[in-house]
Amino acid sequence: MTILNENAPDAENVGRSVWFRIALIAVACAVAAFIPGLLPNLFYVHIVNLTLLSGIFALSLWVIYSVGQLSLCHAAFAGLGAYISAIISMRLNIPPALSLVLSTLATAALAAALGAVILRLRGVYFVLVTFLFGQMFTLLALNWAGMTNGANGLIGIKAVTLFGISFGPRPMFFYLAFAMFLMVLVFVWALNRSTFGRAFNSIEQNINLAETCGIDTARYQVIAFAIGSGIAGLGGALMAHYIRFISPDTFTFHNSVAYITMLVVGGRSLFWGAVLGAAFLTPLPEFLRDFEGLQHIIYGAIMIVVLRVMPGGLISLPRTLARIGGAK
Amino acid sequence: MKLSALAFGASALAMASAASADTMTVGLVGPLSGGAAAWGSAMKAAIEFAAEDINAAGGLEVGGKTYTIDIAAYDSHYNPNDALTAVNRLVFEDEAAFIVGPLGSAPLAALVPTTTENKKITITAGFTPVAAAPEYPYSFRAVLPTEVYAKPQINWVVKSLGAEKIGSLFPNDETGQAMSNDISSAYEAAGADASAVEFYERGRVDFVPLLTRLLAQGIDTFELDGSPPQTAGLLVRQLRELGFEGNIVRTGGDATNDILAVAGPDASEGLYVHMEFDGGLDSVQDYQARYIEAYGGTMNAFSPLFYSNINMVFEAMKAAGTISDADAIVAEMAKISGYEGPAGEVSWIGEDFWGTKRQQFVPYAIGKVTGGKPEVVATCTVDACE
Repeated sequence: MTILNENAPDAENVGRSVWFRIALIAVACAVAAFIPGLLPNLFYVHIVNLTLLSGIFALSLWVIYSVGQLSLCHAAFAGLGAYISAIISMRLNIPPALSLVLSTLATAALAAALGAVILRLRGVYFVLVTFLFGQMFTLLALNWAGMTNGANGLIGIKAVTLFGISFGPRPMFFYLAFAMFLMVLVFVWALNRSTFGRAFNSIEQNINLAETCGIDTARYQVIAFAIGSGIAGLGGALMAHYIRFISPDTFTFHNSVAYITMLVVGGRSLFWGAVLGAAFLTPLPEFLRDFEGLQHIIYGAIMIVVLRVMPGGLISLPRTLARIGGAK
Repeated sequence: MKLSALAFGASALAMASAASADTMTVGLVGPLSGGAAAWGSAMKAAIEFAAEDINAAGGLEVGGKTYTIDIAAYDSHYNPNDALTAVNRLVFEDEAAFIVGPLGSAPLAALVPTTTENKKITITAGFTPVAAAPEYPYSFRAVLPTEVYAKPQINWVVKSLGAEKIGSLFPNDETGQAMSNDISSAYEAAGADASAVEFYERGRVDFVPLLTRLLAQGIDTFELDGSPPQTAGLLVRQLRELGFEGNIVRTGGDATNDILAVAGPDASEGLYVHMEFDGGLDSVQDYQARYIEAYGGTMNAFSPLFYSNINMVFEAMKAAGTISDADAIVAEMAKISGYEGPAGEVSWIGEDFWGTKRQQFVPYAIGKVTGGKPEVVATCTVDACE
């Protein structure tokens, strides 16, 4: 006897959904092709580039959050990727395009090794240990001067070049950053829909129940931590080859908190929330720059209003609007 | 008839001035909030005074055009990322003719590739050698770095004050580490032991544990250089509260007024301080009076130094006949000699240090705080303090 699930999507619907997403990506790419030319000047291109990089950082943190963990050393992994890519491209003359890949893999491997130990901890203990790891990274970058040039940082990091095209200029870097952001976005979307994503979600919802159901929670948490940190390493490496300077001040505890803020303000329930948070919070200080002394107060007030009105983050805006409309 | 001729003349004059009046934006990126705000505010005051002077005189005449000066000022938060974003805005959005700032080595190292690529002159206070490096020809430095003044001043301290065992505390970042190396090697070269060194994270306010560790090593002199003004004041107060009776020396980075404000006159009595210039000059006194009248409080000594350097850029623009050809302006900057600024006569130095001459030099001094005021006890050249 065959039991039919009426809610299961049929093959036709799945195919339609896939084609819809491919079309969406194609439209996004077509629009992106014109963005640098449409923006008023290179300052706005720079802000868009930073926003795309923030999007990568926030998405990568969401992967770790999707197994119910909150990392306070996310900036440290971004910094690790940045330093590895910068050092191997400067000292070993490895092309930056290759050093981006190598640094991503190396960061993911280091995160997996660290995660295997610290992911046994849960809740506040895990958060504290990640905070300590972040501080250790900063101290290492400061004091291992022979390798990192200490507090003076690394100056003159090469721009990414592919097939003879330099991605150093801001408009060119936009295309690289957009491609990387899109790649990460599609990867996280696919991951979320895969067996891994379902396991991550179960762990986030109820780790004890997930364990009881036979899910190897420790393994999945390490995988999520390694993937998230590896992507952060990629973002950090991209930033190093864009700004062409890194120092221990470039990736600090404050950056880790900023990524968490993006996640919370954007909305933690879906990975789109991370993207929205990055898109909202990265350019916001620039719009407020003209207010000088009031900049931080206005920034804080906007955050409070957003979280008060939309506790679920910006991603819950349609629901909030529908609720307000319904109340009327 | 006479009236209509006068009206015609007036309207023609108005039309002519409307046709030739242009605005030149000068950018500022510096720490306008936080522990280093005293320096950032001093830089901001310098550009505001320079702009005020020029605008009051009818504008800056360059190549047949008259420009009024407009200022776009952004807070760097003493952070390389923020400084870089601010400088992107100044270069591409505000189209600043030149940029005052940044302060700090990391912010400077982060943004100097952008300003060089876009040929923007910067007047900085970053102590990194990058500020005067040959590969960054548009970078000028208004303030003397430790590398220049450490040797003559420390030689004087060791010889005249008999300093033997030096204790010092530096911020744990690029500025602190660079200064620690310069200061320690200068003390060692002068024959003193400078091995008692500790580092702290910026923003810290309780230094008792670190100072106790340094005092336990039997230091007879404490070096304050490298710490922001307010932090230096806290260090002086906490050192005296811990019973330290030796000499406290600040080899560089003017902070005397802030130290006096935070530590109080009693704890600051006998403090040996670096004076960016001879504070007794009438021109400095006038500048200080103007500063206090405009902003109140106390004036940081960086302000007149930046004011001189900013005006030298304006002079160079007039001589070059352009506000946009940075190469021509830099060439004219190099020709300026004997410029009389409020802090004294300015000259360019740096060839012996970095192979370039883009470092502003004004004769500086060593002062001793007596009765709540620094009094000059030695004046210095590049070679020695006497």
